[in-house]
Amino acid sequence: MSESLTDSELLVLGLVSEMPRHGYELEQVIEQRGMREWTQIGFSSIYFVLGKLEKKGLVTSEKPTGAKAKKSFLMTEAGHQALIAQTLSAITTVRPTYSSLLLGMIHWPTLQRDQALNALSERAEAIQKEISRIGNIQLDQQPLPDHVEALFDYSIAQLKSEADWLQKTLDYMTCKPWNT
Amino acid sequence: MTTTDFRDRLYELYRPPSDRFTFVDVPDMQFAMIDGHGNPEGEAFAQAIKWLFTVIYPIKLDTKKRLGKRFVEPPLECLWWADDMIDLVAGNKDKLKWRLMIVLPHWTDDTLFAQGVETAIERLGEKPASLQRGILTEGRSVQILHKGPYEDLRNVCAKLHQEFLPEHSLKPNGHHHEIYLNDPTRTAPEKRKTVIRQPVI
Repeated sequence: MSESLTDSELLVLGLVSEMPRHGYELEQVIEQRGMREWTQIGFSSIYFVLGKLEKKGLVTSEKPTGAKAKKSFLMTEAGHQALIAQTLSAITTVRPTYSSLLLGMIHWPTLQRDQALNALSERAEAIQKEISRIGNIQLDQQPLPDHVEALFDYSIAQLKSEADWLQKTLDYMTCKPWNT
Repeated sequence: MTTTDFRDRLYELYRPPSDRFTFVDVPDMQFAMIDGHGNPEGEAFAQAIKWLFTVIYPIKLDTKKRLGKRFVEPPLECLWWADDMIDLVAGNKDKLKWRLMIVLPHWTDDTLFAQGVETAIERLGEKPASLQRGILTEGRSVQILHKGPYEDLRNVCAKLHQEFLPEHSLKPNGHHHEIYLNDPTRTAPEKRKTVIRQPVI
């Protein structure tokens, strides 16, 4: 069983698995697909990540033939196996993420009634903005394969469920007498 | 116009055999189309593709809702011609004329299409003059599935026009038609599948 990969390593390995690519091409694809939205990968770190993947034997580089040819990276069989294992683990593992909202709600009683209720409506507005922002990215990226459409649907569904929660909580808290 | 269930006719129309040319009767279908000319590696071609996919987005969402699991992503298609058809076989890309198209569900009407166009204008600005919803009539056609790089499509085209058509006493009866079943930004050249279709008489 191969050692686990970082998110950036898995991302770059996945892109190389589609077809052999050189560093600059990878940078372009990451940019075009808006992958920086949800991963932290800088331009210089692409080469760093490629170097680490090469060291682990998961990708191999093709020596440039012409004077202008760039070094192209291909996935190895070990890389293919690692990609499968990591993808399975990424899908099956439930990794909890903690929203700052939890910390905020815990300290709800420190706020004045208006402050608290306004903060919730402000959040509800921000969530609506985020839903339309992500919807626009989805539109800008057309055409998308089914699995990527599903990925966008997932993000939007999460935001919508939070929007529902916010609406319900806001209604409830607005009706409730304010405890001090 | 024939009512086409995209899925039921998908295999016949969009997945022909790859080892030989086969005949197919293509029903009239409606498409979102944009016309242009010049090198397909140029900006105009890329912009036209972006426009088409943006225009069909609301239509696609509507189709997904109606068809659910039966929904199939429509592929990008392109008609190719040139004033001198030698340029097509020779691959003189700057001399090419093209009509980029994406098939629309048979129930797409002016209202639904206008909704797509409006969405695209909002995102992309002024609409291309040639953008339209139109019906393509091809009828009896010869087609084949090509697996491999787009550069090799010319050879298949040459074989079709120089060997298969003369051998069967057939003449072209419409534009050379290519259907791109894969997204080239996500699929390696050797894995790309393309349908080449030629209406004949």
